[in-house]
Amino acid sequence: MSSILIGRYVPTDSQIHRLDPRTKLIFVMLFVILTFLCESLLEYGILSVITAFIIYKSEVSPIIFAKSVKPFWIILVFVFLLHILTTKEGDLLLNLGFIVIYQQGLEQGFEILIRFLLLILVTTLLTLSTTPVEITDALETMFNPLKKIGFPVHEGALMLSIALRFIPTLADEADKVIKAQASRGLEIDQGSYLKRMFGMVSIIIPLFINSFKRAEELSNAMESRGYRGGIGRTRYRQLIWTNKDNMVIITTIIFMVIFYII
Amino acid sequence: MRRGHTYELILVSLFAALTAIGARIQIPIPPVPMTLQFFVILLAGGLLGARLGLYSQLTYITLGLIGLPVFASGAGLSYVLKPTFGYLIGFAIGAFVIGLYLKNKSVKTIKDYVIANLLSLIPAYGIGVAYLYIAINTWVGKEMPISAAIAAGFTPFIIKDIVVCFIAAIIAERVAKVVKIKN
Repeated sequence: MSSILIGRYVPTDSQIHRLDPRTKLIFVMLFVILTFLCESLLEYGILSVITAFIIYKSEVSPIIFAKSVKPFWIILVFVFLLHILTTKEGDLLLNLGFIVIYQQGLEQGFEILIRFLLLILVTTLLTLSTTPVEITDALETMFNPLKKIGFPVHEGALMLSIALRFIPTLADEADKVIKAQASRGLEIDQGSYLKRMFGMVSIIIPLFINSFKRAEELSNAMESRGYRGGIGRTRYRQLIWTNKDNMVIITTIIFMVIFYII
Repeated sequence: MRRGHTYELILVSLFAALTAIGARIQIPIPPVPMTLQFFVILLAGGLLGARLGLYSQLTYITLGLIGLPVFASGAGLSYVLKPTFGYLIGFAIGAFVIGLYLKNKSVKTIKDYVIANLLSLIPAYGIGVAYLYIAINTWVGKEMPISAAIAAGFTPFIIKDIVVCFIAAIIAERVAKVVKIKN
């Protein structure tokens, strides 16, 4: 359970890892737009090469990337086959009676497949090369202007951090409660289904009451140390924007302009 | 700053964490193992109220989207491409609806909690099935009638969820008696 804290982060000291988390977030957003600007297989090819290059640069094993695609493989195959089998435009390529494949269908199938794959890979890249804490910091700074219209940016980021911090603690506690109740005779894998569901009552009630207690203790601890919300609060972790970050963003925008024109 | 603000903020965070943990605790009930997650969502709405309940679920979703493996399967920004992502949004709105229904009840009975919980199923499944339908018909790129979407995304789960609504109401009523909540 403690592995949940680092999420899917894979620590390597690559160029990609050292980029500012804000750069990576902006890049992912621009990349999504970029995939929708693609209109031909050639453009998808270029984009695939770029993605492959970034993955190579991140020094994270390609096997980990392959694993991240795995939960999506059914959708991917489904989408691909669907476009191939249902599109009836372009030259006839194959006719087996019940399977008829047209050129247009094959092209469309590949385009959608590549678009999907690239989106999955690039968003995975973000979470593999950036810790959740870094992403939280980046989100807080990026959404800072929204404070003016009353959006609780600081509170949101703090809630993310506290939730992150308490997932392992509360998971341990849940584990303890389950074991304690099991020693008193609770069975959640035996008996009728209704009985199993009612078994949850004796797990949830102590867990929740304890959580409320914890929340009160923590808020007292914070307030007695002078926590007054986000106003005038300084930061322990500073984000540093370097020239490399400028280069990444500018290069991406240049690609977007090129893809838009052609 | 308002008094009790810090307490609320931490409660929301802890409920987000509990939702994440709930997704991992399973009761073996065939065909699909049931998780504690749905209990936590109903309790978030019932115990924290509309606004805070919604915040706790949004925090949970954000945790998953920034790459923590807190969802039932997988994590990361790419999760929004999954046709089942709509349920997460739907249940967050569901927590809001529960809080809204209970807002003006001075004495909350088990019956009130049951009605509120059952009401939350409407946005949960409404948005969930609609997202499934839109996902399949747009970016997955297949034509699927709405009846098929309902058969896949509504019928198999609804009975179990209704039972959970009743059990969660019992829990909510008991916990609410013990803990300090300001609404």
